[in-house]
Amino acid sequence: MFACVYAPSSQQATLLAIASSFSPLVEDTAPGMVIFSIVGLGRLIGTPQEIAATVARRGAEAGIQANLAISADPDTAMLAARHFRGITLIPPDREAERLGALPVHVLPADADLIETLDRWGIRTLAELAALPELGFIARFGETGERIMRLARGETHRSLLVMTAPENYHRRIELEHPQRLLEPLLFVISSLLNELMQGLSFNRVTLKLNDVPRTLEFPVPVRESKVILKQLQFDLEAHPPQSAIVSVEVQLNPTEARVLQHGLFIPQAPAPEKLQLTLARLTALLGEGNVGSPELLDTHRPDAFVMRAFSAEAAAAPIQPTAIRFAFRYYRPPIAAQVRVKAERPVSVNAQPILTAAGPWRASGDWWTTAPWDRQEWDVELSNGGLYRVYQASQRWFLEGMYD
Amino acid sequence: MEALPKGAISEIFGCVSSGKTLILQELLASASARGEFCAVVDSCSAFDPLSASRAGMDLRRLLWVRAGQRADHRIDRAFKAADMILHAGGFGVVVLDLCDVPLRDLNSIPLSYWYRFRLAVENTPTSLIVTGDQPLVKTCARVQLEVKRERLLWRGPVFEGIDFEIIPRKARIAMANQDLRMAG
Repeated sequence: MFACVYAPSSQQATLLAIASSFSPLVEDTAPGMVIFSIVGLGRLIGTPQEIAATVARRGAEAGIQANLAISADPDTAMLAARHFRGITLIPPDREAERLGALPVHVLPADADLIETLDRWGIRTLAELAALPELGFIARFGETGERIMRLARGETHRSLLVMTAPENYHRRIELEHPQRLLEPLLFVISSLLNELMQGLSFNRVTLKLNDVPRTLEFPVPVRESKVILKQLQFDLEAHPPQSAIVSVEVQLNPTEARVLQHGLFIPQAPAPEKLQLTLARLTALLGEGNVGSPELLDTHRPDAFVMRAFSAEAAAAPIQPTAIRFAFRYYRPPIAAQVRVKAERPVSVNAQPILTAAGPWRASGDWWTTAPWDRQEWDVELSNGGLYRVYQASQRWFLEGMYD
Repeated sequence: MEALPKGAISEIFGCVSSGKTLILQELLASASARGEFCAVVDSCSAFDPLSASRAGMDLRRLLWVRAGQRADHRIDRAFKAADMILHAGGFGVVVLDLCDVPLRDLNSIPLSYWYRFRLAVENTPTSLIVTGDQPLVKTCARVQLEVKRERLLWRGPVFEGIDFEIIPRKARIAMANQDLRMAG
């Protein structure tokens, strides 16, 4: 037996709370409507009438104005609760009789089907139930069969039981404040192992003493040791400020990565291994020194930003230009002693200039707080190298070398 | 220029402004065009993304690792970084750029590093390319190419390019065209 509570003006959470207080099998059917099983309540409360009275009393205590229907089938109970005021009890095998007076437009069917029934002169569920079953199903297919069974009170479906959302969140209070990293990682490892269980995650939030730190992963990770190692690098790079008394781990689940490798596609770095390698490289060399460069849309020399490297990057067709030299930067530029004669540089750091081309004047970003303005020269020195020197703010710099 | 051999160390060396960086960037661009991922371990933070992009490199498929701007321990860090990348696997080309590193630092590189790298790339689809101002890898390199500049190309007052010659000092690869002289 199932009970359906219909209260369109009430909070869904209140309805679910009332339903859950009677049964663990609760269906969150629609806004303002819940259905729950009352099987087994007979021994606790009594007859269906007494159960209905108890549910109604509980609802009244919560300040809910609702319709209540009890039936052997959830769909029958749902129709009755939606369209009969107050408490409705439908004994088994009396469904067609009780629902018969309802108009056909209450059925869950599309407007065309209802209009067809209307044209046939079928106005109520009782009239629908009286139609020949095979002919009706032959015309209207699966939907026709469903509404026919509903009109006859012959549906027998199971509840879509509401389950609490999975919680990927664990917290542990330590008995003694922990200052060392290794025992702390042991605690974090046990929490991760408990949470992960072969599922994939793309974000982890670690709270030490309620101070959060979040790591995002470009591809789903399903191995706890990969996350643990990255947390270790992060903790080593940014150690906590005080001894740890509480550890909290929160994971964000995501769809597992499915990848079909091609026989003739060049090998790419394995994502899990790559993430660990990138974390290790960042720990070794510092942030901003590992990644993929992305050129900025500006004329400012050496303008790029370092983006996170990802082996998922799709190949993009690049049109090469016929370059005949490459450049190597000195970062930061080296201050140089340049001797100038007749407005042309003649030596750099006491080395005579064999050939000089320039000046190439450039400026930009004058509308920002970091304007730049310089004049460049390409100079061939007596050591054989071809360098780029520039003058900015009355000072000379060696920017790099052509190679 | 054809790709250098996989599963082995290749070395490209030459003096300043010889054209070795241009060759390197063309190798990276051709690897990128084949759909491979590349890594550049840059000991002096000298890599120019703009030059690489103009050469045809898809920068999104490039892992650029800068060993830092401070001179101390940068060689050590560069070798550690290259070791990590080689052991991570999956890269088509890994470049260890040791150009502009002072001779004193280069002389401190133990030979065992090269043996370790040779074992790391052996039987993998990775080509490890070492660039420097002088030969460094010694017996562990399968290919050694010296780049010699012939002349700088000027058109009026504008620098246009470098005319260079590639001399195979040690090459176990069959080269279809023995005339390796290139106009950069």
